[in-house]
Amino acid sequence: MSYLQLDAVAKHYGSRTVLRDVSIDLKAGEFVSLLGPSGCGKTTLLRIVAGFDQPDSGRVVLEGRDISGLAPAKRQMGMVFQAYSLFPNMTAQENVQFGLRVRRQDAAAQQKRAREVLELVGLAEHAQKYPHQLSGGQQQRVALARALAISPALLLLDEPLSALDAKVRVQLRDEIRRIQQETGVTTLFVTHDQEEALSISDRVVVMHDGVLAQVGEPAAIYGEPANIFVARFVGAVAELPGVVADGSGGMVTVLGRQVAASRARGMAAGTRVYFLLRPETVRLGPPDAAGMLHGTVIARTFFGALTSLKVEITGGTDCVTAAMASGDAANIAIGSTVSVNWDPDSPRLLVA
Amino acid sequence: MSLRPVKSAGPLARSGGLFTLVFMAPFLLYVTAFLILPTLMLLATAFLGKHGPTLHYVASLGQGQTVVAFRNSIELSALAALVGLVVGGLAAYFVLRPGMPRGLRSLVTTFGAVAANFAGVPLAFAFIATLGSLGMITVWFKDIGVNLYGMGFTLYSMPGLVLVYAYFQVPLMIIVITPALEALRREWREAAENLGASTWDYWRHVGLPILLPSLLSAYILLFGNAFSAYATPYALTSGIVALVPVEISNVLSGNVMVSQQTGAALALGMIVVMVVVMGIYALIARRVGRWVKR
Ligand SMILES: Nc1ncnc2c1ncn2[C@@H]1O[C@H](COP(=O)(O)OP(=O)(O)OP(=O)(O)O)[C@@H](O)[C@H]1O
Ligand SMILES: [Mg+2]
Repeated sequence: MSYLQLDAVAKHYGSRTVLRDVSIDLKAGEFVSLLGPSGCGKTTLLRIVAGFDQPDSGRVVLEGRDISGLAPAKRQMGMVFQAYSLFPNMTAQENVQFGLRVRRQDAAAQQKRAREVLELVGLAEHAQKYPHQLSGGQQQRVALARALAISPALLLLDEPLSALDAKVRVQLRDEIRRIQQETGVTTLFVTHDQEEALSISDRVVVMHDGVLAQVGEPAAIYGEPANIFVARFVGAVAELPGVVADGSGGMVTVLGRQVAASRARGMAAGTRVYFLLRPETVRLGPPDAAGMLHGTVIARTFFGALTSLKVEITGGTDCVTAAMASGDAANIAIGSTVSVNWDPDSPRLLVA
Repeated sequence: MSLRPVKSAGPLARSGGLFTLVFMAPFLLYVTAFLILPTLMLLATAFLGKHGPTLHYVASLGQGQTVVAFRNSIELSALAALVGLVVGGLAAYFVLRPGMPRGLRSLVTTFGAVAANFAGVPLAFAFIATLGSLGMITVWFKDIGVNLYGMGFTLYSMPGLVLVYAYFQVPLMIIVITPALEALRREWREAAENLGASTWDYWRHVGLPILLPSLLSAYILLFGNAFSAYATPYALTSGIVALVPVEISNVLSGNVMVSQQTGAALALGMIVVMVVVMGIYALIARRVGRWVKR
């Protein structure tokens, strides 16, 4: 049985539909990310789970109990906001104790629990500082500790890392995952950053314009995008127009050439498809080799260990990006002609 | 930059030297001309009699009539400030609540800006015309069988003055407290709610403590505003309720006698009251604003 069940949740603002019949199930202890571009309804969905917004229709069911009508204060959920949600008039410790204080726990128990969770987020020695004396990353840790202090039935995080700089973001991201696994709290994490979602989640829910585009484990979302939106949104992908040439042999016509793609097997000849290549599956070779496609290197982006080369395919303006070890990429000059190859199992095909 | 002195000498040099001086000079000049010099003049006038230095005029502050005037002034100001604080604060809160029409807000702000400055003789006569013994509202009430003045109310009394002062205190409060209310973040409220807090918990532990420094400054401002009001009480009560500003006017323009020195002593007394009030404020503000970023 699922722990949290969103059942056909719908929400409109005026004539604008923000969520249409969204259904998601979370298992106990699961870490699920809501991933999607700005304005797709992630925050709205999270706020409905927290009880701040009411769905127009649909239900929120927690452990078999319909909580759709329950006030936020009664839901026992810990929410972490994007930024600046700490009470500025309280120290880190007082912030963390707040949920226990309004539950009228005795002072000793409050302090013990506050110390515990502050330690968990690595901020025990900053307990007496006021929010303005803490860095952005530390503030978010305190906010996390505050949410965890009440031993929430559900941990809700709305882009808690987006206001932090890149390095702190990655650090805190990994730490959120560690803490989640240590505490086993069921977590719903909102982000528009696909790398963030892929790296910390058990499952990712990709949203698009108020509907679920795909729900699955990170590897599945990346490796087997269910539709062109997910393919484009999650990870980099080269997208070429293709037509299935031979359904039994696994051949697709791309830019006038017949190329191998085992996933074409079983598809009817003549089917129009998006022919998708992830950069790390693309191999560049010398131009004379029996390449599947040919092209000209037009741009290079250095990422440290990896370098990506952008190749314009001969006979058009379509491009393919190849990611390779920077050492190898150094031997390929911009402007040189190359052959473009891949393992026949690599390309993904989505019916256009 | 080699223009800076090697050794920083004093606060001016520390905070940027010549530049600071150039930009601060007009301000310092202004403060000197319109704040420090007049105060010194007051001091001099109050302590100088015809035959040299004297404590006579300052000592006269202890006389019955003067003490009453000071007590009245302080009580009236404290009360009028409190009424303004509570009513204006609540009004601003309700106007700023989410879901209130946007237009209402600008309407109230505009009205507030006008009303806060509508004081003096016109205000007094507006009230006399409505709530005076023959005022419109008084008469209406009489028509429906309620005799305000028979019940002990009179516009020309302390309660009457508080009511009239409220007319400019409430809008002033709305204007000064609005930014502080707007600075209360939605996240604080929602985080509190999410953590299980009731509305009362939120206001008690979060909302009010955060507002407290602003409320205190607003109270001081309202107090000072009421304390120095002159034209309104003069036109309204002239003499019925003794107030310090009215007394000053009396001794300067001479209903009874003309005495520059007594006027100066009274004004000095007002300054002392304000200094004491602000001293108390500073003490409290330090305590309630421990968490404020400085
Ligand atoms: N209170 C509201 N009134 C009207 N429209 C709203 C309201 N809240 C959200 N919306 C609209 O609903 C849509 C979804 O908003 P939501 O905040 O859920 O997006 P999001 O996915 O969280 O985006 P972001 O990544 O920018 O935070 C947006 O188009 C937004 O304009
Ligand atoms: Mg959002």
